[in-house]
Amino acid sequence: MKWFLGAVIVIGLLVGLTALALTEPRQLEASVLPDNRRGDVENGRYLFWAGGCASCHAFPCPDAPNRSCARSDEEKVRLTGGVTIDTPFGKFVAPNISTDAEAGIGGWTTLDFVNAMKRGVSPDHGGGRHHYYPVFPYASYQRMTIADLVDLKAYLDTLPAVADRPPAHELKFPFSIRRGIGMWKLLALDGEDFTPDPAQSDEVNRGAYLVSGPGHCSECHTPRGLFGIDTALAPLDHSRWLGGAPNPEGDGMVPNITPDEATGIGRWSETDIAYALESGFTPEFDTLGGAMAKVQENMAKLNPEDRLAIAAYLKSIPAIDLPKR
Amino acid sequence: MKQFAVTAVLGVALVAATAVTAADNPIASRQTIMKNVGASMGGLGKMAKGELEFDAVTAEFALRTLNVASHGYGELFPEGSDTGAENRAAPEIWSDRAGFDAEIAKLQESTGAAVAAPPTSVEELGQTLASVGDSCKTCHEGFRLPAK
Repeated sequence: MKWFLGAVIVIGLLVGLTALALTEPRQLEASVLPDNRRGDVENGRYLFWAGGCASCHAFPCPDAPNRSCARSDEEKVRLTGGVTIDTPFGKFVAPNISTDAEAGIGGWTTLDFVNAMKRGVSPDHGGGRHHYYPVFPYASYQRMTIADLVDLKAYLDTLPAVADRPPAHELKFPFSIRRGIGMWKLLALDGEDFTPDPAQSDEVNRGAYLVSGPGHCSECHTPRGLFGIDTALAPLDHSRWLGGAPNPEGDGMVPNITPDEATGIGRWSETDIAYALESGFTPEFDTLGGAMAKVQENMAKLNPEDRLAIAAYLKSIPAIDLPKR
Repeated sequence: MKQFAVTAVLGVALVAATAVTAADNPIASRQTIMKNVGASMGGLGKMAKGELEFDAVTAEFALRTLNVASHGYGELFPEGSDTGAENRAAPEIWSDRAGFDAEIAKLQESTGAAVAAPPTSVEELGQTLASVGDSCKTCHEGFRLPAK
């Protein structure tokens, strides 16, 4: 009997240690940073809009804290945090990412920022590194180039310091255990940089970079599932890329933006897509609403060529037939 | 003058039709109104994009339709009208009623301004649409649910 108990304990320890090893926050080392790159603040500013940072990190609407009420550029660069998303896992509150040293990310190095965006890990300020929850869409931001991230950090460093301290996340057990994210990352974070497709034009590849990297469109527009089971716990199902997904905040669907004519935007031309991103008007002159309204405000700040590139990319991806639920 | 009379009559008819049906079926009424708004916006948008030749009279007519639609629209959202038929009214309409009413007031204001000084060129129409479209967007952002 004793040997059996002993075996159970040993196996338990092995499983536990393996789990700890697998879920250890992993970071990139300083050697990945280019030497002597000061950071192009103008490019960083452009990526700030392409990446949609303000949509989550600027101040929330008082009566509807699940979205930001920042409207002017001045309001949008005050990165107070506070937008609260209510999900089946509990409530996530966006943090302050202003240059404030206490309330924000004022003390961060460029390497700290790169690790947050590409690995979803925090800096080590004494207590070790921890994982960020993937509501921060680093599974998409991981596709951004190091050069772009250096530029974006340089731009963020120019923004005002604000002292707001939004509350911490309120999560249900077991999602409150951050270490568990390490497991999710094994499936969802491949650590790959963006790879252009040599068979596609430069324009389509530019669109692909903007959509899969800073734009992080797939985080809402692609369903999450594994082994045929759709669940928000799983990573993105790349076989249904941008094919539409359930609204993470409640009812309805986030639309299918593949070229399927019946269930996607196959009937939209490239100019229709680019125009919708620029103006907010669909080809039927409805307006893009809900969470897409803020995205469209960001897209309106891009160059016309980049909006067309996004459109060209969206016309090039496989058409997914989104079944009606 | 005649054209204004036609517009006025049609506008009154639209409002009257709404008033008659509103009490019975606010969901259907407000959806019909939004379809009319969509049709008007479609015409204006095509002119702004250059797909339809710009015509000042038609543009003004369409803007008047939008303005008429915005008056009384809030009354089509009484308590309890979130259920009863398929609709995309978000719960915020009632939990943040002041915010919703403010959006409607914004639409009345932007379309009212457009009617008071109708665009005489494609460029001016572009500016009008940006202002009116912003009212559409902010209301749809906070108070309309995603499609099923």
